[in-house]
Amino acid sequence: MNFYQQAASILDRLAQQKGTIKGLTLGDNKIKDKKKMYAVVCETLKCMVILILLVCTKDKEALNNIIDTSKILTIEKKLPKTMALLLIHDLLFTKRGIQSSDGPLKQAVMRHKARLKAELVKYKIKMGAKTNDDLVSQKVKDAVLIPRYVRVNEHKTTVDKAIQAFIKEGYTLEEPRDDLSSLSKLTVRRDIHLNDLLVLPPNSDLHDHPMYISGELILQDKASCFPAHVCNPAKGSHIIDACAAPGNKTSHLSALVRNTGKIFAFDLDMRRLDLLKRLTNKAGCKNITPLHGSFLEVDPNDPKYAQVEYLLLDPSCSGSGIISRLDHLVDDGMYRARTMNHTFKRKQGLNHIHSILEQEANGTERLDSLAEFQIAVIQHAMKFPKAKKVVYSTCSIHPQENEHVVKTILASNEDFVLGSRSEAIPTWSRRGLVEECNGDKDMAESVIRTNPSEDYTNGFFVACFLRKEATTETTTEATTEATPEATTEQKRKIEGDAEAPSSKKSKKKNKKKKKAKTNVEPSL
Amino acid sequence: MSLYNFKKIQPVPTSTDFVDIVLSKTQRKTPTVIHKNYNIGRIRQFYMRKVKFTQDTFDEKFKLILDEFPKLDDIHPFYSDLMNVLYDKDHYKLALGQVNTARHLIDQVAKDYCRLLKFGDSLYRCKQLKKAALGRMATVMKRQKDSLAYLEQVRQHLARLPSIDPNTRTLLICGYPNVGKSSFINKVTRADVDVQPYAFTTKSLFVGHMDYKYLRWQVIDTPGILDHPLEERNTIEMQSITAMAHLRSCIMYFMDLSEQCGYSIADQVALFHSIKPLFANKPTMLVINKIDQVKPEDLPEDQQKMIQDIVDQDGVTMVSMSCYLDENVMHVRNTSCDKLLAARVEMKMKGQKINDVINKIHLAEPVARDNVDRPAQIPQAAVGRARFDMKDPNRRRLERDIEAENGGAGVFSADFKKRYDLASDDWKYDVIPEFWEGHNIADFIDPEIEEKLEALEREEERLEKEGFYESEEEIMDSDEEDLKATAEIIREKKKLIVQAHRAAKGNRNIIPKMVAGRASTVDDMNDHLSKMGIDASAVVDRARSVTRKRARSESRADDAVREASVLPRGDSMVRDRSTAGLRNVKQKVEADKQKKVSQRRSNLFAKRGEADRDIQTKMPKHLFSGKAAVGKRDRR
Amino acid sequence: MAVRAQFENSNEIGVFSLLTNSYCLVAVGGSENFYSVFEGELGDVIPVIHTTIAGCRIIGRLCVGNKNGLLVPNTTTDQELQHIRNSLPEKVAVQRVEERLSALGNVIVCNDYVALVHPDIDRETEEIIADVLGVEVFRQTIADQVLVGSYCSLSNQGGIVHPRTSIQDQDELSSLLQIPLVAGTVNRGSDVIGAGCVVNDWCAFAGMDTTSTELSVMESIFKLQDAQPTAIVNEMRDSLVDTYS
Repeated sequence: MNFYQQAASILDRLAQQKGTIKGLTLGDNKIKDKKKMYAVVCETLKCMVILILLVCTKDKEALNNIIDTSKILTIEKKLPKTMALLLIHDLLFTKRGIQSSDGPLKQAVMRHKARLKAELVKYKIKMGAKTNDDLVSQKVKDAVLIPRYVRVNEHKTTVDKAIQAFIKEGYTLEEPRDDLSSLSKLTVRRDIHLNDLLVLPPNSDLHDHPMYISGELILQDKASCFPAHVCNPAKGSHIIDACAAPGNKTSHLSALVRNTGKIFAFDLDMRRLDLLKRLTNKAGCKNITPLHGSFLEVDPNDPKYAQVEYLLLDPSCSGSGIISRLDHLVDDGMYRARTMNHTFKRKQGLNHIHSILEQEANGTERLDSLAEFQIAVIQHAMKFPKAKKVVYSTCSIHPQENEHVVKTILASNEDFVLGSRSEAIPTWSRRGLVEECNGDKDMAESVIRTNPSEDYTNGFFVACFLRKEATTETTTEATTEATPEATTEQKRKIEGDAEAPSSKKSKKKNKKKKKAKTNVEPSL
Repeated sequence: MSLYNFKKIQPVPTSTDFVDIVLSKTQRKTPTVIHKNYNIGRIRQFYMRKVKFTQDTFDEKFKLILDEFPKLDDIHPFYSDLMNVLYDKDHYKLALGQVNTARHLIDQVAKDYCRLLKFGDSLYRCKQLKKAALGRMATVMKRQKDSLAYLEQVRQHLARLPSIDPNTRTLLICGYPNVGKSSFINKVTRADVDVQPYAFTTKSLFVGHMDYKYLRWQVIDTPGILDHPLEERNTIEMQSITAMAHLRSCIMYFMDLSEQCGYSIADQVALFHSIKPLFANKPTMLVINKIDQVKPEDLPEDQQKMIQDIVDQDGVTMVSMSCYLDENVMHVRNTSCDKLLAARVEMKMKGQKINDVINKIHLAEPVARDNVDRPAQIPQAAVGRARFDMKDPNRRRLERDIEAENGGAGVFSADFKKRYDLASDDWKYDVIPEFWEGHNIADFIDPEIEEKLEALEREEERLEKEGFYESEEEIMDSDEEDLKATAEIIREKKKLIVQAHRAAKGNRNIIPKMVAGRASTVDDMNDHLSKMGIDASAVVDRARSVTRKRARSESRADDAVREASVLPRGDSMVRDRSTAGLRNVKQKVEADKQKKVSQRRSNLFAKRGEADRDIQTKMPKHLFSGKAAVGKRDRR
Repeated sequence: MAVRAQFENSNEIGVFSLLTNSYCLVAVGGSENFYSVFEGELGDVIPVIHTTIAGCRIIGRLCVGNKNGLLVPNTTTDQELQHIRNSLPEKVAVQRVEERLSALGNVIVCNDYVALVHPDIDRETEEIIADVLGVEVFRQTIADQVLVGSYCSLSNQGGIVHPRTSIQDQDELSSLLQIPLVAGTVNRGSDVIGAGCVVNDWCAFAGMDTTSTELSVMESIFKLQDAQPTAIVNEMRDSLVDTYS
């Protein structure tokens, strides 16, 4: 029972957003069997929505619409909700059943065994599912299918060396390819678009890999590597990374400029900024200046930033493109749970719940406030006197946060224009949605989009703004950067390994604004 | 089918019988004694009643006839047309109309004569009026002689009509005489229609029933028809035409290619075409009979073409069979039934009612919800087991057979314990009481008793093996003996105490110590302490002084008062209440005086006090009864 | 095979008998005729047992069971329980149930794998059903009728439900029960299916009034004598349409 109590407290803390799944499970020394705990928590989260439906109490009015829930919580008053979720999950979804001695809590659940099983079956019929796995949402399933992308930290090693190391461990090198749907185990390949990225099959666990611990490899999704590449700063230049934590993009920038110049990394959350410091140190970055505070409150005319030419903006967004992280389980599950409770209070039916979920997830209100914030960040970035390139990225698939924001910026800011396709990973085939750009094909061509279901990566959007007079200049730079000479140059500049603490945390979003409270920052 | 049951119509009496019936009923049911010296009102009323009653009876009888005979406008067109053909609609309606008129006439007669009777001034006149009234009624009835006779004939014929349900699934067999229509109905149903080798053997409609596809089918055999205009058709043919025209059925047009029936193929084809309009919108079959004689393939080209024309033009299905050889008969039947059923279903599917049925013809198939296999659980013994057959001589002996052998139902009582499934057959009839010494046996059944017993035995065995019960040598010395003796005494004493305690306790309540203490006396204490060898005198004295009762003062009168009481009393423990509540002698004296005054009245009436309500005998019998001679006694 | 039977002039034979794949309970009647109908068909395969429940003959409505077990109401006397226990095979569990809705046969219907129960049945009873009968238990109504046991009849191969059950409900119930279902009647149009007939996996009994159409629907849906449920929508469809409307 102790195991379940720990798990329940983890779930509670997750619900209150007091940490991440990994932080709470793997980072807690009190927990004996961490792997098991992690598995239990993740699996429970996956089934959260179903469980909540099964467990929740309901109103009379809602009865007609909601699947007949078991009302277990109204009858077993002493059973805490999270504990009930865990126990019922183990009872219904695992072969082993509840693994604990016969305590009062277990008895409380076992008393309702028949009813719970029946409700699950009814729910399955309603959903047309044959097995329990069919019930888990598609989003959760997709996550598993995304290949594991590994960025080679060029501060410490090179792509070739990394590949050699993998081969030594028994991996086989394969030709880069487009179709990443069925990657066999223990294979490694370069990415077809980005030169510093390796692709491994899904479910490759590299968290204990020596190269990851030493900071030579950084686990970063392909889509989130785009912004740094699009930004493509010149060596020795000053760069601002607004909303920087946890620092994967920052270290990527640092690697691209070979530790020259200066990178100002802003983040609002001190804790996450610490994480950024840890990560960038581990990655061997020496040119990063972490700054605590809101990017919006920074004075653009401060002499400190007088030399800033490049700005990388990855503001809070709805995170609707993200599918691979486990954290979304928390948000998804808990968010739905919360919405559902809310809905119960309003005495509405389940039929509405899904629509409400959709509405609230895509809800124009929420998206509008996000877009407002995103526009504010871009506008602010464009105030920097020497800024010549502003890269804007989101991990959202909603055009309101992407194409529409770009349109607004272009309309309101005369000084900046959109970089052409050659500016932004020209080899990437999926571009902006023409219909969302008022049919402006050029504009659509100039921005990058990724589609989670087809591109084997998270949903992402990248746009690159250039100051008008600087347009030609940067274009040339960008082209040179992508040449093979650049890679050799990079190789020469490999630095000695720096000690870095080993902590890979997927982290939570900043609370940039009250309105954007539930947003997910899509950093990886 | 119960809708058209004409068998229940009551017989219609002839007019003379009718009058007899009614008059005798009047005679039986009305008073018969009257005197001329009765009050004239009574006499009038007597005869009016007779007239009225007769009229009522007529009315009732007529009404019965009018209600029971089917109204041609209300019944199914098939029946109304059939009745027209058989009984002539005009005649039928006229007869019923006349009956109705007669009813009104009789009503009118009764009304008139009742009015006249009101003014009848003598018995004789009233009687004559009554006679006249009934006479006129009888005359009216006499005029109905013909229509009543006709209606009776109709009734008799109607009762013999086959009961045809016009709405059910019907196969209608028609064709020239002698083509084998009746042979077919005899083959497919249990009907037994007369089959003879001459035309018009069948002179009316015949009905047979059969089962096919879980449904009940009605087969109607019609008289043969000839090919001439409708107006020239006789009654027999018209019955066929009526059936064809009005029954929603499958028409089976029979043809005899061998021409043994006496009509050429051309005639038969021509007949088909002439009655074709009657088959509109009905499934129609062309049944070629007698293929044992001539097969359709063997016909000359031109005749084949004629038949083919029918099939081509009118959506008719052609089938062939031979009733004689029993060839293809069932096939013909099935094809016809299927065709009719299809047509009926198609029509019903178009109707409104189908929406109520649609869920009953839906087979819900399960969608798999898991990977569990749920097979049927049929025991091996049941697989391929032959169905139980009552006629099988080797069949299983059933409880019913045993019952029959032992006196039948009500006498025999079955043995329920016979088939008990117990470990040993000997146990089957073991008697287990329901209650034993006030306990419900069932409450003490422990399913695990065997295991528990076994566990105990095992432990016992183990203990025995370990030598637990092997007693050691007992050594006794004097000390131990002393100890034992003392222990024995103590035990004895304890037993006594417990017994005394129990005896004392009896069934009384347990009294708390505090309360019990109050009940114990100083003597008890003294005894107890003395027994224990303690000098208790000091304690007793002290206790006595504390508990000694005070003298009564308030509730008792002074000694002086007592002495002053009227009667000196002995040393009785009974307290003198006459002195109670009096403070002193003076009060006592005053009270006595008042008592005497208050007793005066009751003394006067010889009462013992005011509570004395006794009533003495007021007049003693011995004092007031009996004769006394003069001067004999001074008292009675 | 489907057999017609009558209990002392009553066609509601489901009231006076209970049939499962491992035993058959029959009410004690004035004569042995009813008993012998069952005995003749089943006697050499499974035990056919005379019994009363709480002194009543309506045993089919008072108790419920399947191959694995038998549930009787708390009104059952100890003697009756003992008699039933003695008569049933060892592997059949008998359990007395403390349930407010004591006509268990009316509020519960089950085959060897799944049970449908009245929505207001006790939670304890629900667990007992699951344990003793070894089934999945679903609270359900049939055509808005809460007395699922009265309006439905199930075997492991198929089931008949109340004639007013909508197609959607039929499909849902069918998925729940994992057997093919059809809406139908017994006893010449009676909608109390559970009372009008009793079935197991190889045998069915219906009231004397049952028409041949109804009987053949039963044979098809319960797959008796190799009949297939699809016959209802194929061969028998026309007959059904013609009789129902």
